[in-house]
Amino acid sequence: MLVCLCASGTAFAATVQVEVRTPNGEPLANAVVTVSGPSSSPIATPGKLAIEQKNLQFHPYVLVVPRGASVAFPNLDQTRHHVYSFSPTGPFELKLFASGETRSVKFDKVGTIAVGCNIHDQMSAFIRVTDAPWMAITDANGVAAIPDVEAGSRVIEVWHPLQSGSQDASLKRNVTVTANAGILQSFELAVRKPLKIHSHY
Amino acid sequence: MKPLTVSFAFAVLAPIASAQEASLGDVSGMLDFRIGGADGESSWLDGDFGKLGLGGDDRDFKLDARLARGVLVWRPSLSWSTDLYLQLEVDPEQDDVIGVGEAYLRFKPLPSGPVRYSVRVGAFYPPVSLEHDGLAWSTTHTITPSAINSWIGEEVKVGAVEGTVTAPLADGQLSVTGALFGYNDTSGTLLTFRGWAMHDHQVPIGGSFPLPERTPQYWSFRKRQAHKAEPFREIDDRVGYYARAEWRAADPFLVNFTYYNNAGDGRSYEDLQTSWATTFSNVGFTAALSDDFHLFAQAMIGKTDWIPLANAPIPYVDDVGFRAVYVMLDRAFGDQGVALRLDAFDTADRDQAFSYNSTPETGWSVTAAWRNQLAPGLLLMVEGLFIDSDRPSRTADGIAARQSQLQIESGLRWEF
Repeated sequence: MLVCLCASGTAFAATVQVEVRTPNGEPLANAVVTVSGPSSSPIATPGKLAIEQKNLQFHPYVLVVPRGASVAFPNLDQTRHHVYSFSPTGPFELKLFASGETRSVKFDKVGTIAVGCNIHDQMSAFIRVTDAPWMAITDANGVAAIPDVEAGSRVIEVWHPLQSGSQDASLKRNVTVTANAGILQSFELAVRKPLKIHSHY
Repeated sequence: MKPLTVSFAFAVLAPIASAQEASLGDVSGMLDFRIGGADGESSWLDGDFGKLGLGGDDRDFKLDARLARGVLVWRPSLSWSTDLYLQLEVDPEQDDVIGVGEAYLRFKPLPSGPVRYSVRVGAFYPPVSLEHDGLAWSTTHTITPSAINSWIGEEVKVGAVEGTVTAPLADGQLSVTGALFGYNDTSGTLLTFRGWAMHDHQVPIGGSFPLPERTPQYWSFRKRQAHKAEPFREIDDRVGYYARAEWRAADPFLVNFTYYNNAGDGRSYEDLQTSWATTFSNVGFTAALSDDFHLFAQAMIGKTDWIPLANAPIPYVDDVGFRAVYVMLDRAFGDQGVALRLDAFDTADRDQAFSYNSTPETGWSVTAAWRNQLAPGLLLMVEGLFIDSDRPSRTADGIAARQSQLQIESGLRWEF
């Protein structure tokens, strides 16, 4: 375990920083990092809870939300989208007309929701619904920083939509968070590399 | 109206009857301007043996500036799961300057699980080419497609009902496609009389391409074959089929196999166009060597035959085998990229019925291309293509059987 000097603004809390890399040592973006704890209610939700449709892509590609949250699906394209998921965790269907129409979906079950567009096959996104009170997504450097994690025994969980093996699996590690003493944890995760080639047909 | 035409029209119109939640959809398009030239023979488009879209001026390098292609694509939706695809083409080099490229209805129900289904009905290309992944069946790595996919573009457009099932399998994805089709009875005519060629002209629905004027075989059968091929044509009222399977693996590669059989009877003819019995198998392979470095390859083997003198005491059967292969490497550098492709092809007179050895040929080609995405929707491409081929029937035209050509071309493609 690497220890860094990350002071926290909250008493009896610290910043948990997680670095995720592939077995080749490349930083892995879009990995979902959650930190479980005794607190049952979510403390923070990073970013806005929305998946935009823009330039025939979903943005962001990966979103993590607390259980019970509503996610908006604004259509910013000039064409319409037929957004759906058949994942048992939260199946839904949204018919979104062009230019600004927004509708929301509430997710009450913990798990993973694969999102697609029935009109545009190349559009793909993932929503990870969690009971954990602290959550973040790794950036292009493969790093996620979660501030204000309460001191105590915690479980860090790392998940990626393209991870090798089962999509429901995740990496878990028990750690001890000490007040005002941030920690840095490194994870290694093998991911698939799907072809970025889309068929015309 | 022929039975095949009736059933085809019914299949097209049936889903429209239940259409709801229609939308006018999107209109997109493309203008492709070119400056370039070639040496050597005149182009096959001028009724000669030249294998490229451009040709020389008395064998010297001839420069040419032109609008190579204009496209308008309209995709209205008849419901949330049914849309229409209409592609209007402009190609000043063809007899029909304006034509319809592809026109089909697509039904794609919302999946209720990991297995997805889709159906296409109309006129379109079978999913063979790995190179035409751009708007309106355009190439994105080179200006000129391989010999295999040049032929698909000129002679393998079908009027079809096609179904595809896609399912996840072992961290990858398996797609299986099957189709019944008509309107592709003359497929193989160009390969027989002219041989392979490399160009980006695509046959519109009802369009035609010229045949070399002076092949002895053409003159032998001029009462059965017009001086042009009309690829999108139904003659014998027999239903052809193709089947395809594609595997996209979890590791970054895909492989596919297609078998095509136009079920032509080899005998029927009308308006000097004949139903050729044509079959081929095609294998395609793509691999990501890294995020920006890709390998593409296709190999095709097939045959086509007809019985031009069915009523003669000894019915002659013209039986032509054809093969082609290419391997292409593509490396992207941000908005730029380079591609290098090697092609090899041949045709063989399998029956050897003709003493003048008119149909065999062998050839190869190397293509190098550079591209630069200047702005969204604005693509600059520069390409050099060398081709060398040996076709004995050229000697009937008083030229050597073996010919080579160099074509250098730049293209500015605007998509909107």
